[in-house]
Amino acid sequence: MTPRATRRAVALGVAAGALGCCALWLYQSEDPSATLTDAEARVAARIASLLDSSHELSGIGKLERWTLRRPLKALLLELFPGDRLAAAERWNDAELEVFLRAETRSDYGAGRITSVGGWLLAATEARICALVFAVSRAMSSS
Amino acid sequence: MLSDARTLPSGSTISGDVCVIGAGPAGLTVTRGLAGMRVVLLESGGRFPSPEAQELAKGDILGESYWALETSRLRCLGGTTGHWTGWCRPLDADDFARRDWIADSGWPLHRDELEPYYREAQVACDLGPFDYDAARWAQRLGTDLLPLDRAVAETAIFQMSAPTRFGEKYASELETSPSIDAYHGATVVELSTSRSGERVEEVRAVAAPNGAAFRVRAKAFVLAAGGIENARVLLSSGAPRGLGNRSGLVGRYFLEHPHVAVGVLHAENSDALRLYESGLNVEGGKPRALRAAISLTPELRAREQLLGCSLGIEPLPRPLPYGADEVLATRSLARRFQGLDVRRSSELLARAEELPSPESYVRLTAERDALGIPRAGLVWRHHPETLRSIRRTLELVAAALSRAGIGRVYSYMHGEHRVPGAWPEIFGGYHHMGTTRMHDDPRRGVVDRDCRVHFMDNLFVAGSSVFPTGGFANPTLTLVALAARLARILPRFLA
Repeated sequence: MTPRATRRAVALGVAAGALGCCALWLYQSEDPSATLTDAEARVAARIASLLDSSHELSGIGKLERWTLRRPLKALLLELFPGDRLAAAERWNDAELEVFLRAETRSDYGAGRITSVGGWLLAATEARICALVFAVSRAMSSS
Repeated sequence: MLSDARTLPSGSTISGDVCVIGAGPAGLTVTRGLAGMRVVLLESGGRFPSPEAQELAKGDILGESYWALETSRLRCLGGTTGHWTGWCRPLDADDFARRDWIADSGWPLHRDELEPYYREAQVACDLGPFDYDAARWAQRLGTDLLPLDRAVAETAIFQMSAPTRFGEKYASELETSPSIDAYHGATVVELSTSRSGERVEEVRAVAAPNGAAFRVRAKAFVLAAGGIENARVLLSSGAPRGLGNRSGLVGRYFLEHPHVAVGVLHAENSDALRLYESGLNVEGGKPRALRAAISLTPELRAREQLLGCSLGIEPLPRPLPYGADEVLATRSLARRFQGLDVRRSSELLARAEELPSPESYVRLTAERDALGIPRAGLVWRHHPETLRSIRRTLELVAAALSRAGIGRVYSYMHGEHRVPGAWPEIFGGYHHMGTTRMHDDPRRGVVDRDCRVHFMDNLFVAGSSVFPTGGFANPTLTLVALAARLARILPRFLA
């Protein structure tokens, strides 16, 4: 690993941790009945950090009305059904990305598309946008 | 012979084997196909469009917004091919079939029966071989097709005519033919029938406003005046209900191809897109060019119970309805999850089949034109099922485009957060169909499979007014094919 890559990884890790805490804070403040663990919060934060236009994605996520009704954990469980959420906590970024790519492709293949303010996106993509919005809101609130 | 009807002495009577009313693509094709028979061809307009002739085409728009009736058709030699853009494609085989989910669907013909006449129509419209296979054309042109999932969507090929101006192209044939008496400036005022009302005896016509009145007698009459005018002539000819109208269906079931800008495609730049977006010229000029659109497969249409619909990819004619932030967000998603660089924005334009409905219709109004003929009123209604079908087609095509790694789609039809309840503008393509629909059962159609008006011995209809359903393909090629077929039927009938 080059020094530059190391610095980038450290920076991303710190950012992910901070975002995770913010997201956790947000979640717990909204719905104390379902606790988002630190590990789950980190997964949410890492997904947000995968995308290079998170600010813009957050804008689309805001259009997704069910963001406001669904808590973060529900979004995570939809993205990682069954025991996948537990697995996702152990995945690295590349593995996360591969999984989400496959889910996106599968959505398009099965016609699982949803309209987010007019954008016809895979259900997975729509959830990611909503998740990014929730995380960014947490950041701005913390 | 091609003459100005104003040269006829008042009170003249002209005779022929067949009288064809209207010299548009249908009328000219029937006339040209009746070699050896004495044909009298009457065209209301002149050799070229004129304000005076267009004045006779005026009417009222009584339903949904539509083009002015004098704008959407031309009254002159060659008819509406005078401003035709040249899009040609046959109807698909499933367009002719009875589709359980579409009320009043099903032609009394199979597409196979039209196949030889489609080949003739290809020649008449200056097209290439009768081949609409997308893969073969792509190979010929050395281009790629969009890599759509074949179980979902396919490329619909359109051959582009020059476009052939039928009036310019075939006028010399009329001028030199010893068996054709063609008159321009000859407006039919009425079809006069026998006492029983089951046989047309003669046509009463006038040579332009204030010109001489004359009559045409023939053994058979072919009404080929266009989808609106055919209904108008029948309705105004046989009081009180109109001619050939025992079923009450003359003028009913008006069909168009609703054109709707449905969304924006954000795609990667690719050579394959050129065939869809701007078309490719064809060496030798026959056809002049090829265009492509995207449609669902017939199997998926059946499974989803959808009407036909093609989605064209067009240059964006308007500003994007959203900001750069959303474009960046979409790019980000496409890049991260599919490795796509979607930088090209194009508009998706649906050209759709319409659900046949008696609630869309042409009727006569109280106003009369300069010759005393009641004007036509058009009541066009958008059936909710047509709109549902367009919207669902867009969803399925959007998924196919995304899955194939072509791009992402923004939909004008789903942007419920922006304009609640609003639908995009729907406009017609100057395609007037269905008003004398074809059906074997005289209670359910105006003409039979031979295009003969039910309960009439010798009156036939040519043109897209006989289409019981319209598919998504532009109607010209099919109406020319049907006219070529009618030209084969008529001699048998007269014998």
